[in-house]
Amino acid sequence: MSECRVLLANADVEGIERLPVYEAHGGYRTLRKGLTEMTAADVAKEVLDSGLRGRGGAGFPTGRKWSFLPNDGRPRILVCNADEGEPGTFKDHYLIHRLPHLLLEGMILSAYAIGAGRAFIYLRGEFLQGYELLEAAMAEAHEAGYLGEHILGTDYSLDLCLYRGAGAYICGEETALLDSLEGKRGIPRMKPPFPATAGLYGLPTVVNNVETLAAVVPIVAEGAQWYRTMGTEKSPGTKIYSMSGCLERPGNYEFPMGTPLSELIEAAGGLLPGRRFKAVVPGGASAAYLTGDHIDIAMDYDSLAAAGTMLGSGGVIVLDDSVCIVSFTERAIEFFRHESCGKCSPCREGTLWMSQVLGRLERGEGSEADLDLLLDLTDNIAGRTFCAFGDAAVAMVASSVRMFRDEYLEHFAQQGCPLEKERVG
Amino acid sequence: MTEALRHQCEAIKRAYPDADSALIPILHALQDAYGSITPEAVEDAAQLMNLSPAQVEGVTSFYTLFHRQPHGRFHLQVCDNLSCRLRGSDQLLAHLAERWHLEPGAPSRDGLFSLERVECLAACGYAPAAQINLRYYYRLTPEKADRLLAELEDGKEASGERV
Amino acid sequence: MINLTVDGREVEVEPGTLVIEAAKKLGIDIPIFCYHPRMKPVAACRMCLVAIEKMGKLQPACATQVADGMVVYTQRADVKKAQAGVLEFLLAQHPLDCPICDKGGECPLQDQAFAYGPGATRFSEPKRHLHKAWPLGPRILLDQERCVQCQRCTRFMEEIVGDPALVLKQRGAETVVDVAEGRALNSPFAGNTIEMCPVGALTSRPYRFRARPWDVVAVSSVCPHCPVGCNLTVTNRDGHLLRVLSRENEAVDQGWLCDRGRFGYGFLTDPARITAPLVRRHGELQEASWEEALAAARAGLAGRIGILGGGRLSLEAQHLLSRLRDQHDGAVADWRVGGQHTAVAPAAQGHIADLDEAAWVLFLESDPQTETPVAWLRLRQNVVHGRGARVVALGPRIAPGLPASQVLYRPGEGARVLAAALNGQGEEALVAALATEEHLAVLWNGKDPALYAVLADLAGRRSGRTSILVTGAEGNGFGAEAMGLTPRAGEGGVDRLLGQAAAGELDGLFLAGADPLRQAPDGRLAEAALSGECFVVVADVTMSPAASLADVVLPLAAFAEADGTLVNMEGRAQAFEPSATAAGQSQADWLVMAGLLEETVTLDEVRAAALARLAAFKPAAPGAQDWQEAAVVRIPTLYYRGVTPEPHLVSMEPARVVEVAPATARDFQVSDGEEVLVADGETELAVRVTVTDSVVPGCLVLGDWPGSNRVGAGARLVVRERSV
Ligand SMILES: Cc1cc2nc3c(=O)[nH]c(=O)nc-3n(C[C@H](O)[C@H](O)[C@H](O)COP(=O)(O)O)c2cc1C
Ligand code: SF4
Ligand code: FES
Repeated sequence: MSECRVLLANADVEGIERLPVYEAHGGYRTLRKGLTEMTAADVAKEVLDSGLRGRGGAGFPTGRKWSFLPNDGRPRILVCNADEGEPGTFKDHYLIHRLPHLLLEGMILSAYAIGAGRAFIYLRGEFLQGYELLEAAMAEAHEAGYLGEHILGTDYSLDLCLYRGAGAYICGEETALLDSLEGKRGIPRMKPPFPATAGLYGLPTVVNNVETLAAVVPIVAEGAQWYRTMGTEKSPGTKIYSMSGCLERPGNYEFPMGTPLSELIEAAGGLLPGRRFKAVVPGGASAAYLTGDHIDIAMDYDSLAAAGTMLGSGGVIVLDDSVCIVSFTERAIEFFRHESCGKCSPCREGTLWMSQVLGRLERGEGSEADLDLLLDLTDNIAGRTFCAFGDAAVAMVASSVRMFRDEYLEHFAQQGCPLEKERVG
Repeated sequence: MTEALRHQCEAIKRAYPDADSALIPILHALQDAYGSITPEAVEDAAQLMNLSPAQVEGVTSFYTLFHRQPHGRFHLQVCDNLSCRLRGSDQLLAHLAERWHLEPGAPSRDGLFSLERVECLAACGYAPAAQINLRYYYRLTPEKADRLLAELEDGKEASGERV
Repeated sequence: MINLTVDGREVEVEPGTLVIEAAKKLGIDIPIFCYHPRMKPVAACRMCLVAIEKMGKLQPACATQVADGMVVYTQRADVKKAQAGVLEFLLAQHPLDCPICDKGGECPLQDQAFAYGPGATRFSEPKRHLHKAWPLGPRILLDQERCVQCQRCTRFMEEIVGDPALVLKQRGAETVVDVAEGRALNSPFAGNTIEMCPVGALTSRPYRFRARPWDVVAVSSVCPHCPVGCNLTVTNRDGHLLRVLSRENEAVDQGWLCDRGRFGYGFLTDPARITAPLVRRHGELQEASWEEALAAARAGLAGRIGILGGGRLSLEAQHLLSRLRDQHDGAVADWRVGGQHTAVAPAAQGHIADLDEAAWVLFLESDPQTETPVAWLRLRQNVVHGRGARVVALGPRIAPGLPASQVLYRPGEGARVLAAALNGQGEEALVAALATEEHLAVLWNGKDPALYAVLADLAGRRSGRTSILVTGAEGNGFGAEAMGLTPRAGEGGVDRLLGQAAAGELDGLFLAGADPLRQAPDGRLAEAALSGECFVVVADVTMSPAASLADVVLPLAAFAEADGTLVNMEGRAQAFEPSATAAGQSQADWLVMAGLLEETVTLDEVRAAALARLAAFKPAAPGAQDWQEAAVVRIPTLYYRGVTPEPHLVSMEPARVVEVAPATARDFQVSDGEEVLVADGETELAVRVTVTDSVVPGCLVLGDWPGSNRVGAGARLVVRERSV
């Protein structure tokens, strides 16, 4: 099966990041339709009916999230979460750098739909090039009347602010993002209150992912029913899968939700010559491993959840038989140790402890008892931490011990990494 | 703080509807001007934002892009996370150490290059990925790195690549 | 009301109650580290996780609000496992150096490890190394390795004090508590963090390694330093005072102390302590027996005598002192050595707890943060987190601290400004504050006599509730006034007595725990009085400058070495007990007074008499004084040093500054930060200029350090000539 490019339809067009080219390929036509032919409620309804689920990781239905905003007259805010930092995920990076106007169009439509007069794009600090591209795109959009006061001559106005973070994965978590946007350390907030009732500066706020907001454009252009013709009943539409790791042609591939994993791997050129499939991390480093048994699993929210892992943000990391699971998992936990905000004890101390243990196991120092310890530590973290980071941090660790126990035992037996020895020796 | 820098910071404050949001953008501007988050930058930010210096340091120390030590003119941030590791970031780092004597965290040689191992840069499909002065370079093989660094030595700017 | 079940038992609580508080109502203790009932929950430590029916995950009891029909389990196996898990995490990197930790024996972490911990540790990795014995400031050390990142200390500084000088830095497992680089934690409230820290991370520098909790004795006491009268627990070992802790009294201190109260006990071991009675022989003060000294004092205090001081003495001593005055024909007594007019509200006597409820607050020539720190802290919670009281600050100098509408006027104009505002004229905020039907609290420093009648009038005329509290007095000024230690009709006050002494019209002067040289608004007059012919008897704790000029010196035991009663600014009598052995031959103040009276009494007898008198006390305007403070105003301070600096409070001593308005600075051609002399023709004081909008033009505001009372009206600022 070949790709089904909806969001990425024009991604390869030369110069698409510039307004005239974007317009020549239909750009901002949907914005005009939305603002001049539809009420805000119509746009929101279309998104609700489309069944679009948030692409930031949790997969929460976007239309429903919007409907939680209280009707109390307070100004509302839309925040685009462009803090993409989940290892294995690079779709927002691609959208921002290739199709900045698509993101703007989706944001303006969404802000209109939820009645927000103010919007922010929270870009991760490393996206300096993206910042410059978006800055230029925003200037063009302003100039052309797509942004600012009285957009396209209507009553609708939107004040859009671009913001660069400063290097912290946790700021992708929406409440930590809001604190960071308020000039603080990016620490998750207590929920409730949820951002919908008290978000940025205490105002009703919707936080949506880049891909989610971009998807609003085709949904409003072609309608909810059309959108639902792609994907599955519960996960409609297309998804940009970020394919990386031991593949011939890694990259972003847009497919209908629920496409089998094997097809995605095939689209990405298949495995490297002579290599055998070993495992996949299907939803970024926060997701549990899947092994070859699941090579044909449907890549949608529910199928992956049923298999004990998750689609997350759609970062698919493919591992072949040259990869040592112990060292790979150790690298993952090292990431989580480095990125824990440090607020709550299980996460702060647990990630440090797990990384210490895994570092030792990787060097072949340890015994089977350490595996039980590791599993128990993951039990003491999962579900006990302040935010979902803790659950994310233990997923690869716990599943690696359960699925690849032998590989750990082999490390103890050989007092080191067998694959490493093979490579060196 | 120079008059120009103060103006720049005041403009940043005005650009955000709620002034608190200006802290991180102002810290970016101060760091660009001073080369790092110097004690002076902390004082300036505290004064501009009406915060205690401790609060400012609490914020700067939380984020990895704010640094107390000055970087080289070209600061390399090499991603060493999962996907990049699978595609040879370790060889790249070893090569940078061997051929260019660049060690993560070490002060730059002649103020020209400095190196940092960083977490995922969201460019996993184009691994190994790196940034030089926050400009992306993709599929950075040791050979490509050699060419690039030699060009920078020769006075070229780090302008990055298009994804 | 909300009904819920905790561990199978039903409880009814207010909506908005936290699960942890609901459980507490049933006597069910849920372990905590980060939660503190006076601060917003952060749910960071995760020690308080409980199971709640219909909720998938365990929930933090400290941050979860009750709901009707909620079913909570605190003892279920999953809860127990979570508690053991969290403790194991907290202990993993903890140095476990309890044997050398000051907190050992009274440490919540230690206690909870016993009660809820996993037993043996499974942690076998190298522990992280961070700063140990890291000085955060002059009074507090931090051991970053012991810290459990509960943020109680940082939240206290930001939320309660409003001084975010202590923060979390770094992140993840590297997170540490710290001050800004090159800065020190010098807040007057910082000491509270030591007690709030649930581990041994924050420790007291003075108390460091002094004792272990199991070999100390704890005694209930009351802080003598200001009229709030915070309740204390004083711990001692072998008769030595080791440290001062809070003893929560909801009505007074809510469990907080200021650092003067917590650390200001160095004077007990001051080398200048008077350890024996002294009598001047051949022009020199020499040791004598109590009998000899008392006899000499009685002999000297004959004829026309004045009795000054008493505001720092116990109520019992004050009662006996007033009897001493009554026994002497024509003797005049006045406790108000520092230029205070009154310690008691003219009407509508307020309570400290009223500060929680007031909708409007007047700072009437008052600097409550300095004069009554813990009352100010309480008020701050109202202003910032509570009902949001509006503050109007009036006077020649507006003290910093809380956002306030400011009304500046020249010294002495307060009565006119206030009276006009009562009639609807003047600054809008002030007029509104007086006219409102809502609860108004007035914090008055109690100095300008002209304000006494206006305040009485104000209380009578307002229809809304009024609470007046006097902030400027000494620790037991209220008691002194109630015991009648003020001049009677027709008598002059402290100023006239000093003038008479200086003019040789007085035969004897008794300084009862007072030093006019240091305290009196006119230091030069005090000096003239004490160096004249008059026979001077001093009863005091340390060898003050006045004591060294005396003819007889009687050593008093310090507050922690004696028993007695203090009456705070709201008229609340609070008893204290001795916790340390009195220095040398010093004796409780009431015993010394009894000795002067030649009476044998017991504490219980005197106390009963004094308390009866207090109960019958009706405030009345004390006799006026004619101090002239027109051009020079002194910044009040809680932190002035006695004879020897308090080793741990040096950093809080008043700066040698003169605060002036910009116009005044222009008139004298001085600028901010400049070194100048304050000169009145007789005296010159070297100070640094602070130019501020919070001082009325024409007024010089001096820091209250020893000697700053030696310049008077007509003082000018002169630029110091640079020496060659
Ligand atoms: C630790 C953590 C990291 C996250 N990182 C991101 C991120 O980088 N980008 C993102 O869009 N959402 C991220 N999320 C999810 C957000 O909290 C939030 O659910 C999302 O932005 C909502 O957008 P959506 O509804 O469009 O998916 C993260 C969540 C957690 C717990
Ligand atoms: S120092 Fe003490 S009070 Fe402060 S965060 Fe650490 S453990 Fe908590
Ligand atoms: S006491 Fe509840 S999380 Fe700390």
